[in-house]
Amino acid sequence: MRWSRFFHRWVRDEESARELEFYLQTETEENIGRGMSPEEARRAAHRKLGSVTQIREEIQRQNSVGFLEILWHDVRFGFRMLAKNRGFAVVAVLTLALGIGANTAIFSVVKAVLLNQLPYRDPERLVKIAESDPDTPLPQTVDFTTTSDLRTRSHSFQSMSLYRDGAGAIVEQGQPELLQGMRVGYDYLDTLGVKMHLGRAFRAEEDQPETRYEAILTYRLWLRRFGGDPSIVGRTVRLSDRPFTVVGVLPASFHPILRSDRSILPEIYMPLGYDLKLPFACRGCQHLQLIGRLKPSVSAEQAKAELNTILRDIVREHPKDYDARTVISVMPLRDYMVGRVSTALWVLLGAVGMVLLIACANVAHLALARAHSRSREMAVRAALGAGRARLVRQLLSESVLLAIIGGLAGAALAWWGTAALTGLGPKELPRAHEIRMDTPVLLFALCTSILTGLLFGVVPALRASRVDPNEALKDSGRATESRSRLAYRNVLVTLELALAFVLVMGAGLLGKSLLQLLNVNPGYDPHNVLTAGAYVYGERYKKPEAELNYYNQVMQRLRALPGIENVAMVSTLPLASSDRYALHIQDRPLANESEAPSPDTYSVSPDYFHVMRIPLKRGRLFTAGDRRGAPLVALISESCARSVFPNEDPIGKHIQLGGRHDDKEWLTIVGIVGDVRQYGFDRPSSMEAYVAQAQDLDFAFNLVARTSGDPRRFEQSVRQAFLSVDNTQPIFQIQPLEDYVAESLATRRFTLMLLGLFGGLALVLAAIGIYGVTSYAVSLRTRELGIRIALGAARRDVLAMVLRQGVQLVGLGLVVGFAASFLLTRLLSSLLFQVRPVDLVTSLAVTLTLAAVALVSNYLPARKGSMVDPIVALRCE
Amino acid sequence: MPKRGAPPLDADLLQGTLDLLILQTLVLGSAHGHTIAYAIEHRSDEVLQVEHGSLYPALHRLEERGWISSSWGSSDNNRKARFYRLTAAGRKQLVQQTSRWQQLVRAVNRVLRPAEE
Repeated sequence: MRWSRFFHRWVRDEESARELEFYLQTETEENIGRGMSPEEARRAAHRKLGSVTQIREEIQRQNSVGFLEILWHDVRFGFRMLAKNRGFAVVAVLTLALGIGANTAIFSVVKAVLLNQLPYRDPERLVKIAESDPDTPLPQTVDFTTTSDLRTRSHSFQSMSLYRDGAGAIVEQGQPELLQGMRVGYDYLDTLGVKMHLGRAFRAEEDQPETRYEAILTYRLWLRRFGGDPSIVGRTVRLSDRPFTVVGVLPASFHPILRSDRSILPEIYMPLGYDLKLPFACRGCQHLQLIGRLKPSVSAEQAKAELNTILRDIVREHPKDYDARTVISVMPLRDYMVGRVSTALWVLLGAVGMVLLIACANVAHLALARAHSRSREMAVRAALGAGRARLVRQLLSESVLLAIIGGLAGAALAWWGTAALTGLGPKELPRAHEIRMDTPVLLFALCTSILTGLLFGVVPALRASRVDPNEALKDSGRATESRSRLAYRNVLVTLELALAFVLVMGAGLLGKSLLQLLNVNPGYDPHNVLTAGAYVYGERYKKPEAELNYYNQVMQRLRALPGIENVAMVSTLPLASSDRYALHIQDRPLANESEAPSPDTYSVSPDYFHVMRIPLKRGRLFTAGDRRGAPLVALISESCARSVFPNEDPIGKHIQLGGRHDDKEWLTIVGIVGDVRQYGFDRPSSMEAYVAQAQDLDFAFNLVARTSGDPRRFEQSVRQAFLSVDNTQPIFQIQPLEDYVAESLATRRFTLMLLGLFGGLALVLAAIGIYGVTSYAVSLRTRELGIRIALGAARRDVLAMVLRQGVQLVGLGLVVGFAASFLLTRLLSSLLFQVRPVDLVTSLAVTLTLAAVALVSNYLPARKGSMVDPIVALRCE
Repeated sequence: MPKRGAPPLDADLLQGTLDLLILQTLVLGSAHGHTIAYAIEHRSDEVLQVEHGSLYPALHRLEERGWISSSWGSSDNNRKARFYRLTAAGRKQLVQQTSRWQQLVRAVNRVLRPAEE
């Protein structure tokens, strides 16, 4: 019934008042009867009864819904106080909005990328399985035969399913287009737990080399290329001149498994169609990807242990087929999909948290100053009977209210910021489409706001509530503050400076890394090069001569265009992917073939090295003379020459790439070229080997064209050149080589940009903090400074005196910051490049920058203090 | 003024006692707050100095529990006064609380007596 009383209590209060008035009148009359004067009688009656207000409040409290009501009261009061103090409120809200907004925006990204579940059934049981050895830069592949051994012997998995990239050219209804897709085991979609939008998944009998001509479309492709035809299932689609039957359409919500560093979305799924008899199903033919669904009771670690035990048996049974160091890695699918970006995101979340701490410290300064000026108000409240807890609660309500207003503004800021982050984020920022401001993110903002409010409010509230009404009321509001209060402010400033130091240091280290990276010579010149993917299919290109002829005609047409300096073809573009082949030397047979070195292998047309400006070190490059039928030739890179032929001249040596086949022709090394950083500017060159395109067409090819001026201007010309030779063959991904470079650096740029932004923000906030504290300290000493000047102190000495205090504080802040950065920057080490976490030059630069900013924000108020007019100073207050 | 910050146990004890005294006072018939306050003082030979202010919240509380009811009527000096009356539930409560009180007194006395001997 408390609620009904709650609503009727105004009536009841009125009755209580009347009742108490009756008591007072009766008592007064009786007192008069006892012989008192009327006034005395009334006063005595009041004394006897006690405070009418307090009794009424007591009765009210029995009727109230306690906590809520006091809170409501405090909130209303808080609003009034903030409205009265607009300047304070606006500055505090803006500061908090920046801090909370930035945190919310970054959290929305962290949540989408790192915390959200993958959109599959029981995603925590999905793992990525890969064979790897210490030489593999990114372990991700397996071979078919080993996988089928693992599958039969392992008991940890509900299912294991293979997949690989696949593509098909489609011509019907429109321009020839290369559809990117995947070839997958028949149980792939079932392993993920995907329900079809239309039709069905593949059947086991469709997953065979001869019968693998079914297809499943993604929802997007179904709409885009087939107009959402509801009767698509059963229709035949020609892909690269082969008929495929559409058996199903994936739901719109389906998300493919993507490597963290790939941004091409597969649009079509086809059966893998392997069996053990296929030559590329061999042990060591590692080009397939494998996912597994763990049994409910099995952990990824247990599965890994089991698979490795099985693998050791397999290696013992087939010692020649494996590198002795081969192991199997099993990692949660989510880790695989998120990849390297997770460190960067955690670092950013940490950094943005520090910015919020600094913002808190600044608002705490403001709240302290304001609490001080409100000490009379607090004293009056205390004198009227408010307990300390009540005062603290009221003050905390005010700061939490302030923080929530800040949080609202921050959420608005984050709304915009999240959109900006998604736009600015690296293209391959995994799961970027999942980034949004949803309920959990808003809840995060709310909790952050409340915590923030408590954090910056608690010390000022505790201090302000510790009032002695006697003292505070006597003292007519003169600004005096104890040393301990100043000490607290000094701690805040030290903390701010230290945090800012860490952030700026982090940004400095990342910045230096990026600069180092941009100065790295990747071994080729990526400027003004346009690239395009080519794809040939069909009966008419069965013969290698025809395919080569097609390429040569396209290149010929392009060479004739003004603005195109030179063109060439290559099987693998730098930074795009890699293609490793085992290298065998004729006069050096190996006991275990799988221990052969495996350089990245490229098939290139003769002009490739000119277009890419890869230098020839010794010997000769490929020429037009290295044609079909001519002696087979190869080039190797310097690092390959060094590690494979350490003490001899590689030129003239006979090698084979791929397996060792003594019945086949050997390639002669004719030259040595410069190293190329295939996997990224931040990864050292591994070995490279080149074969002549005319002599080996067993690859898919890309065009590279060196242009004068912006390569984008030639996109259309390149497309036309291909289509004019054959308008049924698709070309795709026409983009400057620099785009690949930019993409490979995008995560770094993104991290650096945000960390730089946060560092700058931290610096500005810290500068404001120092300025505020020094100004405050000076204002407290105005009288003292005035007296000193009146007594003849030189202004310079006064300035020095005030500055000295500030300088000590700045020094302390920098020392603490340096120590903290010493500990924290090692978390960055995986993001750094050729910079150690403790870098002397960066440290020095950061220290100088911060010291300069801190001293200026210290000097300005100090100077003002030293300029004080003694007469004014003594009169004031 | 009521003392702030007294330990809660004492406050509870006092509160319960005050309730009992009010109920007992009302056994004789309805009365208004002023009368109740003085009645308690008189009947205890002035030993129990009831804080008159604390009486009203107690009356309010008892009424909320349904042990007493109130109505506005005219006092002897012809003013509108609020009169409190014991309800049936209040009467039952009084019997229970009185016997509990007496148990308590006996128990305390038993503890105290050996010390006196």
